[in-house]
Amino acid sequence: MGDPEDSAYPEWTRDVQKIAVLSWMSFLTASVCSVLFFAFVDPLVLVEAINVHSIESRYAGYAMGFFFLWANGWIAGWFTMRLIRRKRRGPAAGEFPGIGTR
Amino acid sequence: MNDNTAAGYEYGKLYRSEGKIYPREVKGRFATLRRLAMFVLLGIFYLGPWLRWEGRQAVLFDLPARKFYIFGLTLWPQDFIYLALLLVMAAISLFFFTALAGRIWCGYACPQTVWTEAFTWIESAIEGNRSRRMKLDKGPWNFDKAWRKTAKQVCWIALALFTGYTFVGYFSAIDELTVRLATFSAGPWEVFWVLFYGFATYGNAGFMREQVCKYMCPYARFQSSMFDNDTLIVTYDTDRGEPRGARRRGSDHKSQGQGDCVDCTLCVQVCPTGIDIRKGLQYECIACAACVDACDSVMDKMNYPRGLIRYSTERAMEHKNYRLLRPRTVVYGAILATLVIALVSSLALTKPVILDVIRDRNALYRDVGRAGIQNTYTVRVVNKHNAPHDYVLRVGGIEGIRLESNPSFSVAGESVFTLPVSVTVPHEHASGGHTVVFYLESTDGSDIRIVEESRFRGPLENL
Repeated sequence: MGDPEDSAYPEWTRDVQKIAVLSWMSFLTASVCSVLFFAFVDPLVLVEAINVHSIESRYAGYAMGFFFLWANGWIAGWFTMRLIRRKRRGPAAGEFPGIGTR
Repeated sequence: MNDNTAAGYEYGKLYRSEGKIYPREVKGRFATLRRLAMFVLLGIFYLGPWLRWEGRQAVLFDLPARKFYIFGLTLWPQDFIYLALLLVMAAISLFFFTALAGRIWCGYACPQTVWTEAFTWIESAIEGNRSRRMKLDKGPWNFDKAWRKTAKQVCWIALALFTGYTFVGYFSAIDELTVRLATFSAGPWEVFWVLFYGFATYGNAGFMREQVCKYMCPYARFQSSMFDNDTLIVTYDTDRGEPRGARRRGSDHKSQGQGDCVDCTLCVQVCPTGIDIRKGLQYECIACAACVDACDSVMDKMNYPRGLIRYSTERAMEHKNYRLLRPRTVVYGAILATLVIALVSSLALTKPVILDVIRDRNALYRDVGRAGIQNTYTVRVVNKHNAPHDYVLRVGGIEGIRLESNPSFSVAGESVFTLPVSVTVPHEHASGGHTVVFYLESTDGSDIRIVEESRFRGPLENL
């Protein structure tokens, strides 16, 4: 009954995994941080203090804050990944990829 | 078979390319339990905003007004510290229940699981079971395929949008939101969040599914540190199952040296994350127990006892006794209990009325001639009661102290009242710094009495 060919289990490519993990983790941290931040700071008061009058409703303030934090986490995570990535091991000298058994 | 050509050794393609996942449907005890959990949890989520309590929405996190209502409880911005406490409690309970019962959260209660379950249910209702879906995908685009695919997408999008709308309904009163959405007069951000949350639901439950658990979920990676030998896991009984192999029904497999596993690979086919549980516990396993149901059905057919794959613990597999009390559960349990007690008692002790006295920082003091030295304050009364109250304000703490403003006022229910007051102290008692005491008392018989201290400043003696 079970032809393993049918159940082609997907593996995400490394790049998709990176983007997905990055987006999701920064989303989660941004959610928690914006909940905690806006619990203590009223966006309208903040807007008043920094003189940005284009933000008129609290909804807009919450959204801006959330996306700011999300972008912030994303950028920090992206740079961290770039900076700590390890060098990929290539083929040894004289060896050709994909040819012969290895 | 795996299409890892030359052991996957090919530049830029270190991983198998993406394929589509077709988990086989499964029937059984745990599938029923999971479906039940889905109905209960989705029911709570979708009906939640429609519950009423004392004439208002029972659960409403009123973001525009910055007030949270949870049944009889009203949280004000200054109470939001409880939210932080709640988040910590949620994390600790996850630790606690993980140590006890493994990934019970993943298998039954995680929103990712619940909505994936709902979306696959729609999928199989419209496109048919696993083999029919695969045939449909491989087949040419004809009318049958077109309408099934369209119907599925329409249902998915409708459910996703309804989810987004319900979600926003927790943050701005859902009855008013419904009217605004129906009349196309909703604010841009409300519409945005409905679409955003709807899109997230569609993407997570419709397409990414268990990939979220495998690659994106932080809990999946950390859960092993919360496990111990007594944690409930889905496990394959190797001693009983091996050596595995096909056999004729009714044959005496034991005399032929075979174990109970008939190697039908059903447990692999039903697995939503595509692992083989017979290789042991793997981090991808979300403990959904689909393989348990699948294996039990085969064991029933073969007339073997159930439970070749089952919920068990590592110690139980070694035929040792199960221990409920162990360092991990005791520590997690103690922390959790402390937090619960702290939260409940501080909520119970929350003052329904708050008095704040803020001294005017612009002027140190004012000499008002023969009357004495005057200080000004801003008095803020926060009335968290639903009912309005009448108050009278008094001052004390310094001899001859006098309140210049009208000391009686009324504060409406659920509102903040701000009153600038001037306090005068005769010259002979005013020099230097003193503690001034403000007394707030209700005059409507509601028995509220609050005392708040502040500083009174006068000229220094030798200046």
